[in-house]
Amino acid sequence: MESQQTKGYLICATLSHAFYDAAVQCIIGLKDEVPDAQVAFFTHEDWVQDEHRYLFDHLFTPTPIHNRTKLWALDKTPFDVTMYIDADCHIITDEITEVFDHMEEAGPDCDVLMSENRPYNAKVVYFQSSDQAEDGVAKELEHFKEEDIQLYRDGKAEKFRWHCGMFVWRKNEKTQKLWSEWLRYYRKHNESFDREGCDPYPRGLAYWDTFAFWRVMKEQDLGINIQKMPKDAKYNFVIGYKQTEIRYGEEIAVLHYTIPPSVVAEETIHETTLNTTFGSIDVLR
Amino acid sequence: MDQEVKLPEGVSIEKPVPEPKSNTPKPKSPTIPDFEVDPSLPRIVFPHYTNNSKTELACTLIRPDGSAHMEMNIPKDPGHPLCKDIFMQYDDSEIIHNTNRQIHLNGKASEAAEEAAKHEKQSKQREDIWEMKQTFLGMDVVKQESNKDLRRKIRKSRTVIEAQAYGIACILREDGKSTN
Repeated sequence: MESQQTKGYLICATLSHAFYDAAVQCIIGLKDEVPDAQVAFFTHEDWVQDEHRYLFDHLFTPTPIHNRTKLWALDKTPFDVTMYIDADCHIITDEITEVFDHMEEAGPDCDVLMSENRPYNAKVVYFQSSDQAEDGVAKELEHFKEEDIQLYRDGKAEKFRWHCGMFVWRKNEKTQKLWSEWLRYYRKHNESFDREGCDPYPRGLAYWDTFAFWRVMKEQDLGINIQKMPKDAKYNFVIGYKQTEIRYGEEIAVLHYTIPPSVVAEETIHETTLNTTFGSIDVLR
Repeated sequence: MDQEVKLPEGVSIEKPVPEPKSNTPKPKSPTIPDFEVDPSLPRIVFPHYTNNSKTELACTLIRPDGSAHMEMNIPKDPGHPLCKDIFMQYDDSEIIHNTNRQIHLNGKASEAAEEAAKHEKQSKQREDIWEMKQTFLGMDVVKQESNKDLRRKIRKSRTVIEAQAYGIACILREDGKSTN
């Protein structure tokens, strides 16, 4: 019997207009492949062009002028089961819809399906808290240094397991709490004086939402059941991944690229009330 | 004499733990020749050999006004005034030590330069392909319903040439339709 739960995709584009352009391309691609796909789109009202309105089944404005608006948006999903996708993704095949089948197969106890980080293609995955480091200084580690990886094996370092650029979740009390905590931790890291909210972990990690997510999972007992998305690279194939990440007979469904940072910077809203890096969660537009 | 400092409530200053003494023997310092220099002359710093046959040297000269420059191609010739000054102030073992250090630094600098060049090339490639895809996917002719398959191929492209080829294919297809 087919599930009666509503299913859809959630995409955010705020702070830099480059994200809006990318999101529009992402949604056009999605609707090319899955014409009945339901999309919840979070952006700034003055960016929405009339010619694009047909793409957005649920348009949410105003939204924070922030680089991590998704953390604010996740608990506002209109769907029972939602797939979050970063704006800088191209949808390549209609097999993207398989993620909902995987959620169904994972059973009602599974709250979130996520893809895993590939350390060889990530900026930072391993790190030490000041309590773990012998010299008492929290630091980011390098995945290509054997001695750094050994620290992780010895339980003297931490690892970001989950990639936060694509995931699927069931809307329930636990996940709603998870999203609000994720935002709270991100703000704690970035809005505290000198980013001291990150302590005892490296303050350089503040920018990464992956860090806030990891910390919520470590410090908060929310009883969340997170599972690895089967064939995860297929639904979040990040540029730089090895082709061998794709299983035999499979094709990439979602190609995750990166908008050139110079373009993002050029098209970023610059106002005196906004932090130049991450904007503001409290300023809605 | 220790001075009393009033601290805010809840704040304490802990005495730092002394660093553990290392058991590794201290390397033997090079012999420093006894010499005198005219203070108005530049100070010779970090002399080292610049070739395997040790016939040429380089060093940094720091002038009394603080400005510095690198002096290269100094022949190892006792008649050369700078070479003479170098060997008056430095023992050969120290110059060899500096040379090994310079070799190590050069190696690291070249590794870093290679890594930076690789990164730059990769970023440039990604930027180019992003631009190509954005340009084609934004064109009305590419947005035509009949170009759906080619659009998918543009999105999927992993090289600039691939994206360009499919983009042009869209244009040619539409052009062919209008000509017919």
